Amino acid sequence: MKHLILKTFLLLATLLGVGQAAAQANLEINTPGIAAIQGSMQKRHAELAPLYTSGAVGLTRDGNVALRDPAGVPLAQRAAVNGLIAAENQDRASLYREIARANNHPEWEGDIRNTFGQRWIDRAQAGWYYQNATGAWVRK
Amino acid sequence: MGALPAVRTRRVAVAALIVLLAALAWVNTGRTQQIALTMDDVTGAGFSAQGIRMAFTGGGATTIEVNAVTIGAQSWKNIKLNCALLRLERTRIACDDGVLALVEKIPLSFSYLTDKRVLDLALKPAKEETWQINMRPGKRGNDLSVRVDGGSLQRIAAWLPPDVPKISAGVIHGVIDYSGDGRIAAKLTANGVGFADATGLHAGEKIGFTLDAQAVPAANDLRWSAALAWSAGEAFWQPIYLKAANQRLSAEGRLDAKQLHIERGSLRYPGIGDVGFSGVYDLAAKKTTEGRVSAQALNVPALYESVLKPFLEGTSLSDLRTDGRFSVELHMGEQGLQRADVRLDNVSFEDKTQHRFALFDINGTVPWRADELTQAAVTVKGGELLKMPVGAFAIPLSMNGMRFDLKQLRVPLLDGYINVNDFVARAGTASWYWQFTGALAGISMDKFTAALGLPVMYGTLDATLPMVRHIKSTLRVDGALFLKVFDGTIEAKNLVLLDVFSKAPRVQVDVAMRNLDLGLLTRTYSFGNITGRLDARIDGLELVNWQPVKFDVQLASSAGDYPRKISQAAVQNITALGGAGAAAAIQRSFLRFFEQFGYEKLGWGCKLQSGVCQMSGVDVGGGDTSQGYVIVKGGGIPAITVMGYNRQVSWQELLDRLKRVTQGNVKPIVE
Repeated sequence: MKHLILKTFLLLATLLGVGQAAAQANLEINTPGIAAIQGSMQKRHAELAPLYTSGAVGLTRDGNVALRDPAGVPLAQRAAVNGLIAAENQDRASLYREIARANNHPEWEGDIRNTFGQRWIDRAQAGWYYQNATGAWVRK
Repeated sequence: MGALPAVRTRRVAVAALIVLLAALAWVNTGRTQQIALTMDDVTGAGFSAQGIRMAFTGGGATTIEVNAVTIGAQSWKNIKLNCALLRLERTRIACDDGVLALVEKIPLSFSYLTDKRVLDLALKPAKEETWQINMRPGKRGNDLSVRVDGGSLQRIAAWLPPDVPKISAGVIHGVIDYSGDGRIAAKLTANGVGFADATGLHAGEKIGFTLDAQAVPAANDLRWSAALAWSAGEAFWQPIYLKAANQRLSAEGRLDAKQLHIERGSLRYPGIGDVGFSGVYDLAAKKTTEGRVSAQALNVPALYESVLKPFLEGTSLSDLRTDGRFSVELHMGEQGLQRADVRLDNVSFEDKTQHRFALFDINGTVPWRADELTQAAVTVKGGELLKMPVGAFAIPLSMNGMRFDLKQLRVPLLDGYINVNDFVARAGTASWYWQFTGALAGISMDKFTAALGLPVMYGTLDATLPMVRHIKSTLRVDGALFLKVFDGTIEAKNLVLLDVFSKAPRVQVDVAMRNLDLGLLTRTYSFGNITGRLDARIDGLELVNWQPVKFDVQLASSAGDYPRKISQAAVQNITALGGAGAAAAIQRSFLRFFEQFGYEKLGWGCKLQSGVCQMSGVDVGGGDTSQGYVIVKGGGIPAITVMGYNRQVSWQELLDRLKRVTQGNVKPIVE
């Protein structure tokens, strides 16, 4: 798995011409900032998981989550679910930024986001929805 | 209003039908058995019908076909009206069992009295659905009534512009009356209405409402009034979710070619209060050019829960307990908001679950003007900040458009106060910019530390906050932040807070501590007593999420003459922190008989990077330090020198050791 990610990242780095340096990005790096963000995301995951399972929320190809099927969420809960999605995306953006910063290459943020986008999809459970390369929703 | 052109087109449509029927009547009186007739195109305002053909096939059966009909933005092609038996009587033309083939086949019946010119048309598109149209000559032109029973709203949905949420369910009952002189009156009830847009951000379910609307044409405009009562269902309009609670909206005004005037409007929201409004909407520019909103004594808790809270999601104000009443008057002009008068009556709020802040009994007025200097007069009876009591204070806020000034704010905190001076906030292009200078003074450290759940410290907290500036998401402190504590001083310089409100706020700062009383310090942290004075320098301290990730710290005895004593417990603890050796040595040697030792100087350094602390000791001026470093250099009688031997330690491990030591478990850990 880790190997695959590294390979993907290498390929990506070559494609984007970011050079050898970017290929050495440590995605597993840990700092108090990253730990705080991961902790917050982990706590939220309990609330998001049923929404992934029901298909109401899906994983986007740019490393975010999105409301895929609004009809799957009762009106009274829709604001809360939208809030959950917004908070999750905010955390994900912070995570990508922090990992880039911790690698001493803030400019890698975009590449790290892309790599994570694929990583979340790879790790998604069967039945969850994700966006394919054309942006269409696909059930895993 | 909007219904007027539709009614006109309907008139044209009905007129066209009459023309056709009249033609048919004429053909029939000629006793022709089979005849086909074509007609010119019929056009009217917003209406057109092309390719009209009629076939009378004998035995009363008649077919009317139209190639295309356009009403407003809607078009239908190949429309067919079949009537199995068209009755042609002296003064009456009628069809009891016709079928109109539009998108679907709709059974219909009609009767037209040729002498009285009265048309009755009934369409029954579904079992429980009837649309009855009655047209008769009135005082001026024809009067028209439409009675709907169980009318499907989905049918109307096709008429709505594409950018509004799609109606998916709902039925209407009621009557719409149109007089030839232009008056319209509608009384409609809707049930089970559902609508949604593709994003799901705007949706409603099982909505029931009644609408009572009238319009009367005047010389150059149309006078109108409407009342809407929401009786059932729920709606979500991002980010607000509302449930029907018999909310009532009523308004009246006039409509001319250029503007919609709302002269008197009111929204009655049970539980929250009444809101009055008026305004002018420019139809061409599609914007409000004038508006007034007025609400008296709104119930703050209900307003917060239903309306405000969804907008505050994700901020520290998203989970409050609130109380009080709130009044507001707003005046909008072409340039946007021109005046806002806010009145607060015993408004209170507190951080419900985390208890970080609270303000009680806020009273006063805020008279804001877009281009005038005004003064707010607001008083606060009390509150809490991080569980510390806050006393009464006043907020003398000056306002001038989007600039807000606060010359001096003095907030009593515990037995001292927080002073905020020269506060200025102004709206930038993308975010707010604000700055202030401030001070904390006369706050008892024992009360302060106890309130924060820290080890109790003694003395008084006095701190000066030099210029604090907030630009975008960065908070910067110009000059030095000065704190008096442990009988010494702490000076923080180059303080910068990045991503202040994010999950991982970053702090960068340089700190210098001078002349701290080690007696007070060590007693506070149950470290074992040390008498003396300490200086500390922390360079390049960087915190992420309030945890240090980088710094270079150097602790050393302050210069000067003062008693220097160190207890055996303290020696053991230092040893436990620094690593090996001395603790065991003390235990073995005669030194264990002494409670206290003298020292000349003490010092310790730690350079933290990547989770590892690179340690060093006090500068003893030459000597062989290859074996270790000196933490405490002995002096006097009895003297003791404490050495550290480990140069590197994991920061987390060091913290754990410190925790064990200060929690009273003074058993040294010897590596």
